[in-house]
Amino acid sequence: MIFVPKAFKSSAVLMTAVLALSLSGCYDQREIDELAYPLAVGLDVGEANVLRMTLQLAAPLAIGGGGGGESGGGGGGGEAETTSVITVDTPSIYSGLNMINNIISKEINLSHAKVIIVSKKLAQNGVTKYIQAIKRGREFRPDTFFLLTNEPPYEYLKNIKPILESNPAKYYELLLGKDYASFFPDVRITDFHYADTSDSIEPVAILSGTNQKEKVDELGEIGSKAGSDRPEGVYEAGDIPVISDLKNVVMGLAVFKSGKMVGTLNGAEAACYQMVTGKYKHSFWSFPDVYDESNLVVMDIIQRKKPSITAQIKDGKAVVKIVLDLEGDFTSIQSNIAYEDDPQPMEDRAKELIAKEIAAMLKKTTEEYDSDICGIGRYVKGSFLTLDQWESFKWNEKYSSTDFTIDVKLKVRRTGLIIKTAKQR
Amino acid sequence: MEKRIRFGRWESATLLINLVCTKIFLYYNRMTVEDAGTAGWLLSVFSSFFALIMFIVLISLYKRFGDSDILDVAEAGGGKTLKILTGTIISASLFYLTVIVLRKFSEDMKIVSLSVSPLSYVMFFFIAGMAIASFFGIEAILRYHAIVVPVIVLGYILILLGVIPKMDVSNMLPVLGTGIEDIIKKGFIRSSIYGELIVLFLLPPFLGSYSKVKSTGFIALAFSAFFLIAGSLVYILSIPYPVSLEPFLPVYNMTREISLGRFFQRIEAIFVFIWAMAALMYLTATFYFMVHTFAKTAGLKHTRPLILPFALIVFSAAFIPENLVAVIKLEANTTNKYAWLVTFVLTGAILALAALRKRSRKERS
Repeated sequence: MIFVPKAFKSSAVLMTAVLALSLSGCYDQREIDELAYPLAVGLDVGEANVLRMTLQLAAPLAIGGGGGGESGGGGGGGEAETTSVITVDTPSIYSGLNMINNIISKEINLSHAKVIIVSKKLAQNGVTKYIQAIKRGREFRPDTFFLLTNEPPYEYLKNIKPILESNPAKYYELLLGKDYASFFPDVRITDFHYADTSDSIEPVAILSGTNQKEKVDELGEIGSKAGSDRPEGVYEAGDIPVISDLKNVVMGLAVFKSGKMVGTLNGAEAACYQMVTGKYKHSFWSFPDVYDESNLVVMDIIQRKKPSITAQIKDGKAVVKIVLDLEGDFTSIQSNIAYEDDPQPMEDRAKELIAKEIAAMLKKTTEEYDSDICGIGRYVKGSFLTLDQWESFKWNEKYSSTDFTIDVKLKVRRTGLIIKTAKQR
Repeated sequence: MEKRIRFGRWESATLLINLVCTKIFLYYNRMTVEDAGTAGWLLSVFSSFFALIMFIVLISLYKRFGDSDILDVAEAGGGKTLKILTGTIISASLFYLTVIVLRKFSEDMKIVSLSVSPLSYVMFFFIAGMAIASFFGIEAILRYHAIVVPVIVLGYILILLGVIPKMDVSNMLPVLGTGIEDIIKKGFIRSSIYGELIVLFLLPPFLGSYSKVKSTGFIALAFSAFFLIAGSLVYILSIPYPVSLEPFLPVYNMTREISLGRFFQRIEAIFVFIWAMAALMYLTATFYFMVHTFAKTAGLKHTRPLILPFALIVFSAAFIPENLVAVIKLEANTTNKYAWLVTFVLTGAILALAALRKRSRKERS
């Protein structure tokens, strides 16, 4: 039995209450309606200073349907606007926040920022120093999306006007985090940072842009210039033949090397990138019919399991074998040929075309960009016992000479709601 | 009066597990990567193995002393002088640990959640907690451990499970990291992580028998080794090298990475909760045993009058390191390098000496 005087017990209880109250109500107390929450942070090359930072601030009352008017006094936003955009030229991200705090009434809090957007121009100059600052700050979330835009972020963010959601934060999460769109990768700020710091993988960013097309006639012009039989994956953000009230588009990815952007991959290449990195989920692929090239066979291609990647060092260069295990479901057979009974020819065609696409994508990363975005170095590392041995191999200089063998396994498992295609009259 | 207090293996083991494993929340995982790179988890296995070997030696030497604590053993081996020397070294070590962890934990808390509050204000809450718990005495401290440590363990396991989607086996490559030499040499030095096992040798009067001391030690060692190795392994698998060298609070960083769908995010709130509990209990335990050892060494009957003065001294001493980096360096270069000397070598020497004295006395009689 512990002997404790009664007076001591009451003073301990009193002290506990004092501690609890003072911890929650003194120096670090924050009122939620005294904070302004940026949902997107845009970074670009500045003119009045080195960095142009744009914040897209949430207007909580407008988002919640309670009317506008309390957007923090920032520039832009009208009464019905759910966001307000503010831009400042600044020496760094945090000094920019200092400057913006001189303009708006509420304290900036970055804990709800969903996306970091960098302009192509800034990315080509290098973004590592800004990423370091973002990773060091405790308010930025590691799962914030990382996006690259062809346009300046100021213009890009002005064009973002979600129609299907009233909450712009949800719009970003649904648009960028979906697992059924394979034409762009899911890239978070933490993924970018890891790859940027690593010596066995290079970073990528989601490629985004603004769709400038206003009239359907413009689509005809695109068709006459580039042809009208192009597969859907050949486009990059901004050049998709689409007319939409939603102006911002994501498609493809931006390739980085040593913190600087060195090129882009289109939608189909981005899907191949995801297959090789094991991040691909599923999406529709169109293949020319084996027996009737004028028609397409559309399959929902699913990655059954993570790719098996093995690497060896031969004569000072890496020899890499990539085995992909895919499944396909028939979604459309335009020729009406009964592939349900014998899918083998279409399976072989799909395997051949996917392997070709992947080889082309890897060739682009080795020969054109010399950037190991698929993280092949992570497997090559297995050939070395210690970090010293690995570092002296200098993978960054060897990647361009890597030999790839690609083996795609694909089985058609399901045929949709039609089990046997009826003969046409 | 406290000699009559008895508690079991479970309470004592939870106390020791918390004392050894609180470092996981503070720096341990990063330290293994600093020492051995991608093979940090192997270093953790080696240091646990060394600690086990040394503990087996110590506990077999302890067989002859039943329910005497290390101070009584020192007295039996070398008279009052050795008792005072041993008591001074142990209480000074515990004082040092308390001061360093108090400062580090307060700085961490300031960075993570109380960024505007002055350091002294943050530190005051821990000092108050330590002092109040010490007034309640060892029984309250141990029983509290028995209740709270399972909650901490559950939270920690949830965190480990939460980062499974982030794990990548290739993060362990190259498999030997900075080399086999680092793994073995630094692994030996880092057996200092188990330095707090010294507290086990202050517990025998409360445990009552040698068999209880022995089983408590092995239980604590086994669980601690599991949590330390698992922590290091999961950290290396989920955060690739060399980024894994960056985080000042590795588990906090791992927790921030957890994002399962749109709804299960920001679970660092759980982390702050279990982290605060673990650190407060760690501080309370080291502080209490420091006062207890000091009182026993000085031959004082009561420990309570010492609590407030010692709390003030700890509070003041915690301000001596210039900044957070200085504290981290102190921790890495002193406690984590040399604690094994106090826990294993000093204790072993005292036990060996006392055993020799006992045998020679027996022979004479």
